[in-house]
Amino acid sequence: MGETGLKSGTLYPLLMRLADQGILEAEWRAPQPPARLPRHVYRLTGEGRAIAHAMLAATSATKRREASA
Amino acid sequence: MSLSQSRVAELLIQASSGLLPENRKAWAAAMQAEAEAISDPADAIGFAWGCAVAAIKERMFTMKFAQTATKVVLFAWLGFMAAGTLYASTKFWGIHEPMGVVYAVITTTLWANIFWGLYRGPAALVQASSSMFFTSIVTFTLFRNEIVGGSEWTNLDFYRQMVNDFVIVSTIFLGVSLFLARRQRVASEA
Repeated sequence: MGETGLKSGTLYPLLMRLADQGILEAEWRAPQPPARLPRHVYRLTGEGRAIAHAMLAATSATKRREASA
Repeated sequence: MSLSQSRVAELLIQASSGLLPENRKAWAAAMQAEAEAISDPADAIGFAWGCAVAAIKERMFTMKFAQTATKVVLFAWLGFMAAGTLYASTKFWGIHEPMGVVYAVITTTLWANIFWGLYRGPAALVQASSSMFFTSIVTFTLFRNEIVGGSEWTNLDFYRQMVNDFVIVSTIFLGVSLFLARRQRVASEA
């Protein structure tokens, strides 16, 4: 969140939608250190990775076209 | 994190948890765990505030809160106008009968819209409001072009003002009805 500048009010609805669509999966991780609460971690599913790759490819193609124009 | 700042963040997270629908409770726990892990008080409050915003968004769009609130406001507004015009109708009846009739017609139309909308849902409201909107535009055009409302009319300005109000009211009614119908369609597709 710190790196992207996304606020939690934007991030969580996005995470929920992505999880609903099967693009993202979430799981609880044991807390580090143990006194803290367990953390909810997120990972792209196979379908999510495929979509991300397709979007990256599309973005790269657009950038190449813009650069050559 | 100081105690008071910690408490503010905690209260915001609790509010978020309370606002989120039952099927999102795991997300509320995730938000709480994340807030606990933030050491900077200002960041924790900012994060918790964002969670509250996210919970409100979720409640509005997932739990049809906006739809329900809009429906309640719309029916209360129609009911208020219907009661007002009924009162005006009874007052005018003995003084100026045509005016009493105008108000009685408006009252009947409003009550018919309320019952029809409650009985058949947003699609019926769109039907009712679009016919009201059409009627208001026709009436407005007739007055505007002086096809009706000649100078011999008593209280002509008053009637003109009523027609203007009719256009505004029916436009709002149509807009709200379209919003409700659209929300219902989105909800049924989800």
